[in-house]
Amino acid sequence: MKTCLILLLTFSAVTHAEVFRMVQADKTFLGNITDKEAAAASDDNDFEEKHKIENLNVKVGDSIQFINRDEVSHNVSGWVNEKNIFDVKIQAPGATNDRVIELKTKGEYIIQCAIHPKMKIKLKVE
Amino acid sequence: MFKKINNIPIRFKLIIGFVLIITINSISGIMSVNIMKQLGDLVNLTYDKALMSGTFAQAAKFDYSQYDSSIKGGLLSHQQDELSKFQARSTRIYSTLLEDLKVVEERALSPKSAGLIHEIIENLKLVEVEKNNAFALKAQQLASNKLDLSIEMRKNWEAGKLKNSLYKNLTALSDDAAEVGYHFRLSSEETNKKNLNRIIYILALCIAIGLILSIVISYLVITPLFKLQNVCKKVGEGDYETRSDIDSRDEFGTLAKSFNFMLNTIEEKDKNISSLLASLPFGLFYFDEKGIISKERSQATDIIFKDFSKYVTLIDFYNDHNCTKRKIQNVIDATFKELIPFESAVFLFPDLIETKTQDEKKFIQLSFKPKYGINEKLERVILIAEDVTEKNKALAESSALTERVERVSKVSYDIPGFKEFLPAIRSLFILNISILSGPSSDLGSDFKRNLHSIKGLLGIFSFNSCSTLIHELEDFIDNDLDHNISEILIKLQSAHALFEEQADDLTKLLALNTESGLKYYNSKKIDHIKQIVKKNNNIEMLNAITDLDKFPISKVLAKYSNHAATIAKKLEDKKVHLIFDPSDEISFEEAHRIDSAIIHILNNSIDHGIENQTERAGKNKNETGEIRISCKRYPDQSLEFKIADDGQGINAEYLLEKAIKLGLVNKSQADSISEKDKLDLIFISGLSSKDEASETSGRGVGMDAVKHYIESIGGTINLFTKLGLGTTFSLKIPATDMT
Repeated sequence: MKTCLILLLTFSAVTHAEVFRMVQADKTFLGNITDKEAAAASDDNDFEEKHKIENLNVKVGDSIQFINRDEVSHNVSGWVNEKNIFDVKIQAPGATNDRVIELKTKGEYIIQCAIHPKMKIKLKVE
Repeated sequence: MFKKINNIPIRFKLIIGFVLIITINSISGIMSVNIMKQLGDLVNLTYDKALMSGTFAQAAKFDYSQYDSSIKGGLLSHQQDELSKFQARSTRIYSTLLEDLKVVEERALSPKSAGLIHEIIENLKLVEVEKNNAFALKAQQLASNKLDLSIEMRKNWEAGKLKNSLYKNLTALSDDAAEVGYHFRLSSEETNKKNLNRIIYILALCIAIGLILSIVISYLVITPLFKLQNVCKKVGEGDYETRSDIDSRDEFGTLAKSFNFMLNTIEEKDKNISSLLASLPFGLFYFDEKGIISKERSQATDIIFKDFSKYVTLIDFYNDHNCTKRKIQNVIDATFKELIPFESAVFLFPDLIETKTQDEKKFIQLSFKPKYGINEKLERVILIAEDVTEKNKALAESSALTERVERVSKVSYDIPGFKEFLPAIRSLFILNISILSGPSSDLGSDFKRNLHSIKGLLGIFSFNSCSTLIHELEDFIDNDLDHNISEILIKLQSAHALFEEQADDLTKLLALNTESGLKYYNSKKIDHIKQIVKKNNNIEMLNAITDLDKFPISKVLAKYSNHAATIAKKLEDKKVHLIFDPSDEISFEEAHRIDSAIIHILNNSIDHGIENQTERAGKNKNETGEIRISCKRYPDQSLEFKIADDGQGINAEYLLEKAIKLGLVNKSQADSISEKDKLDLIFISGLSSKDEASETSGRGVGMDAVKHYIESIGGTINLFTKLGLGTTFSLKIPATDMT
């Protein structure tokens, strides 16, 4: 029984793919923050500075959830060696437009918003 | 529909085709231009609206912070001139800001931006008023030196709510411009893609339509050409009846019509030529420098030459008519290379050839005519072949007639001379024939001398044709080294026969009887005399006149000599000589009565009686068999002919045996049959003494017919035979009615 449980846990640990919460607020990528925090982020520079993401490492099979909590629209896409790997398409602000992208291939990605080129992070998929 | 299209002249077809292609290309070009224009507009729009509004929104934001800082600077200034400097600067920036906002307003891409700009301008105007108030207050303070209020004023300015919302709005404006610009980019990307696809479709359509049109035009132009080509090919192969079936009303239709018209003319000409060739009475064909014989020839050619179509070249032709191959090739070369004049060259071709078919021999005379080409070069030689067999024959006949007249005139001038000439020639002929028939069969100098004498003598009385025969014989002897005796004998005999014939002709014509001086009389006149004498009842006279009809049998029965010789010639290795013994004279009528009987008896004697030469030599008999004919007239005017041969006689026992075998005689009666009766078996129908039938006799129908005939005219026939020595037939014929 115990072994079974351990096996199940190990299996689930191995197979469990993580979903990274990527919030876009005040024309920046902010990692793993709540919607409430995101709403206040534009007025709080310190908070922004603390949660701002510029580099990110994930595993193959992991996913990133792109959440636009900004006041403006964004269009995020992923590139490896200037080759387009995924396109989140235009996300107007609001909870109904969240999208999940699964990362299936290894490589060093550049994730950038097409409307606001300053929103840019380096993503390493291993 | 298709027919209507076909009727359009080719030049219009081509023009229509090209116009269609050009039109399609133009349409595609116009469409492409439109697309390009759209693209250009899009570029302008992108540049003018998206880029300008984005840039100027940003610039406005920057201007505003400048404006803000210059106001702040003014509020903190310590001197009047410093204040007025900041004031002027802020006013200038304000107007720039308004201008920039005006640019953005003009190019507002979304209602949101338009609303924002409107709000911003309204607020800005309020801020300007607020600024002016603040600056006026500051000026008063500077004038009253109340500098301590400066910090507070600035703080108040900073805290202004209007000012903050203005800044937020400006940021929102620039963000909106960026977003709208991005949307713009996406939509223009899509439009570009669509337009690119459209251009590709148009191009593909143009190519397809162009191809189809080209194929249609080619089909319209090329198909009739192919049809005409096929017709040309067929005509080239000799089928003049082919016609083009193009019936369109365009240039090809006209061409096809002219073409068919030309073919009609050609066909008609061909038919004319064919009918001309068919009606020509002589052979006509031509050959070229390679000696190849034309396919065109007159129909008479095929009649004159059997299987003429098998001759491909003139060499084949001559070769088949016994002319050497190489020589002809040389002559053809010489003719066409014009090494020698044409007339001399064709003279070298054999011009008289002989054709032999199973039943006849023909002589063909060839003549040659040149056909020159445009550059006066010999192109071909036309050959005319004429069957001259009949002509030659006619010529020979006419020359024979001339010769005869000449001969008659010569002889009539010198009858005594001719009388001496005749036996001389005859003896020479007989002498030479006997030399050839002799055992040695050697052609000694005597033979040739005799031959030469004959030839010389023949010339005296114009026996020219006979003389020619002798001359040919001499040539033959000179050339024929093998000395083919039988051949020479045949030639000599034919010359002899010709001579005898012509001599006989002369004798009759000139009433010369070389033997007894007989004269011919008109039988009607004699009949008349007979009538007169009868009236007078003078029997002696009557007899004397009746006697006028009578001639020696050698004269009356002379024709049997020839007959006997002919029969003997047909049989191998047999020779017969007919001898007329001294007899009473008979008339031609009397001879005529027994004509068939004599012929039968002669045939029988030569065929069965006379042995062949070798047999006779073995029996010590003369090689030439003898048949003697005699005639005796009795006082009652009945005649008895005797025909005696010196052959082997009739074997009576053999006849009997054969008769028994055939069931003609009973075996039991055989012993009692007398010798005479046995011999008389020969007169029984169906019995022949020979085992095999020959051409002349032996079918067993001869002697019984003779006996039957003789008895029918009241005569009798008897035979006497001695084995090994010969047989004699005796015919007794009663007198004819004198009246």
